[in-house]
Amino acid sequence: MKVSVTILLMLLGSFAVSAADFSVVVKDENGAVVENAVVSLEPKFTLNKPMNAGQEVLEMGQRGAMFTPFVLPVHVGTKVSFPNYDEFRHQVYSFSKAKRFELRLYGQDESKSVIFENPGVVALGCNIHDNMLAYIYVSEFPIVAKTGEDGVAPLSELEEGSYVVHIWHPDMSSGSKMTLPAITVGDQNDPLNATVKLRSIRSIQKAPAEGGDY
Amino acid sequence: MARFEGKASQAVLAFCMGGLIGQAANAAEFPAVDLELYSDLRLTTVAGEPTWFKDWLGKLRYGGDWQGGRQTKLRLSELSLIAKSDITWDLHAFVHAKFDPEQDKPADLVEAYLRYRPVPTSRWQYQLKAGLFFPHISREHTSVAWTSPYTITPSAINSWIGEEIRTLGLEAKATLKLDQQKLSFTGGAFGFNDPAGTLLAFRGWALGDYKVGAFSRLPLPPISSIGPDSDFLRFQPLWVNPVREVDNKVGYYGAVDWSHKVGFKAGAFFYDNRGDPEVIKHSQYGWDTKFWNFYTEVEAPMGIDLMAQYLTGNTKMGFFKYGGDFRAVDVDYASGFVMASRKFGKHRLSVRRDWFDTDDNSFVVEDNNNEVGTAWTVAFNAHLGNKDSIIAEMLHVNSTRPFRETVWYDAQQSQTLWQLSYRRRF
Repeated sequence: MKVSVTILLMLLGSFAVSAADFSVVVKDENGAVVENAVVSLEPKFTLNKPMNAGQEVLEMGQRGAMFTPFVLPVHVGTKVSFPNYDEFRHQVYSFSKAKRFELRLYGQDESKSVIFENPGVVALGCNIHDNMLAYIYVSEFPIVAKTGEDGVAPLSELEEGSYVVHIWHPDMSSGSKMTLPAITVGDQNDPLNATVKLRSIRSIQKAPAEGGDY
Repeated sequence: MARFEGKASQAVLAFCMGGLIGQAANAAEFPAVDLELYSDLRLTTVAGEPTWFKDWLGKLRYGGDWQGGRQTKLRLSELSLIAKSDITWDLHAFVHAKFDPEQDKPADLVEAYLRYRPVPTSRWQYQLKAGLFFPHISREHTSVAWTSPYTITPSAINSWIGEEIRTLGLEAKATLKLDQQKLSFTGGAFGFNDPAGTLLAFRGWALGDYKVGAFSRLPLPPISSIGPDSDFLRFQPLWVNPVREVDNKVGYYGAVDWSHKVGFKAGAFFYDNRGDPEVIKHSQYGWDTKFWNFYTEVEAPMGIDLMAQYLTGNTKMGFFKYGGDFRAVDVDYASGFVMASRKFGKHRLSVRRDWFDTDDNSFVVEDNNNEVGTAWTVAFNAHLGNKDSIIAEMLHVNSTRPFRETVWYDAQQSQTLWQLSYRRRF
């Protein structure tokens, strides 16, 4: 009995900081939902509780000679691990301005990690498998999320207040991102619809060649 | 001009092997040499002309008996050993050795090279390759042991690449990777490919998945213009050893390749072995062989992959005869194919149309090397697992070679080869 009372109090406590759920729906100019769009929120006030403060380790795996996920949004200062789930080697690299690095992952279940200190887009490749391609989007803002197959980026437990919404996608023209006018998040929020302009030919990570040598 | 010495090929091979042995000692840091076996068990049935491997003029790897009767056989068509090793993260060694029943050595070397590819630090990626290898002409051979995932038998163009084109040399490649497209420039300098062109002239085009080993000889048909009894080219024996240095002159090739994310690839390749047609060494002439190869690949709607290649060139051999302007052999050659292929799950169905042509510019009365022909190939590649597959193929070839009339046969011949190939990697 005591336990459930404690849980109830904890729940009430969490409501007390007035956390709100919010989502952004991203579509392209033809009205089709867009997957892998990164939504970052820039609060126009001081957050009571800093989010994504860097304790969390996110993951960019390699499986079947493909990076997974294709797009990984992170906050500046986040540590990302690169576990190799394949039985063969990967030589992961980036020459993007935001982070230049090379990781040598010999074999299965070996993992190395990288801290992303600078905001920007980090394009990943593998020097052994030409088909491999992925993006890490390093946001300078504390709240980041990614759209799923339904085009929805869920943003839960936001503090009420005013935010500027920034959107990035790998198929926006190089170096550009979209900034929407500031919105106010209250205790009840309708999803925000955003339309992005994407290149007609989408970036994809191709599967490795049939019967390939590596 | 740099000169190749006789033993250079052995030296390079020893260097590659040395890399592998050095690697094994270092196994604690890097995984050991990665060895793989590839086997091809083949059931074939075909009637008509005997194969060119029986010293004849047939167009296929397998043919009918001497009376043109049907031959049905089960055989091991290929057993290959592939060794790969990472000497460092940037330097890799690759060796491919092979056994097959047509080869005149029990085992022979197909490729042996070192590849240096540092991690790119900009949009440009660089690569160096040194050793014995296929220059990147074939668009079909993307599978293990220089095989094709599309068909058992490659196109006429890439059959010839497998038979006669192999370069021992150095290649540099620079690739510019942009967001939507990729552009590569390749240049190579090589030796040990001076007899290339011999088969195209005396035998003509063929369709087969045989690839020559570096030390192997291939048979030529006993046509009256060559061989010790001939009064036209008696120093040309009834065989060719394509991977040989004859004239100590360096050949070269260059290529441009472009691909766009929309699903389009195109490229051009130029080869010139700079052979000296008047030099004879190791019983082999230097053949002055040059050609262009062009290709395009399109990802068409409904999951259909389209691929086309066109190769055109000339080869010259021998002295200017009878005080004229033509060498003993002066042959223009051209071939093209278009292939449509579609995946069905992990399986693949491919249909290909081939055209081929050789045009003899000299001494047609004494030595007629003219030929025209076409072929249809239909193949289904059934994926059984990650390590094995079965390909069923129907190949129909039709060709006209007037020289056949002087020996035995009608100038025009056609035949259909049915094959079932079980491929397994160990």
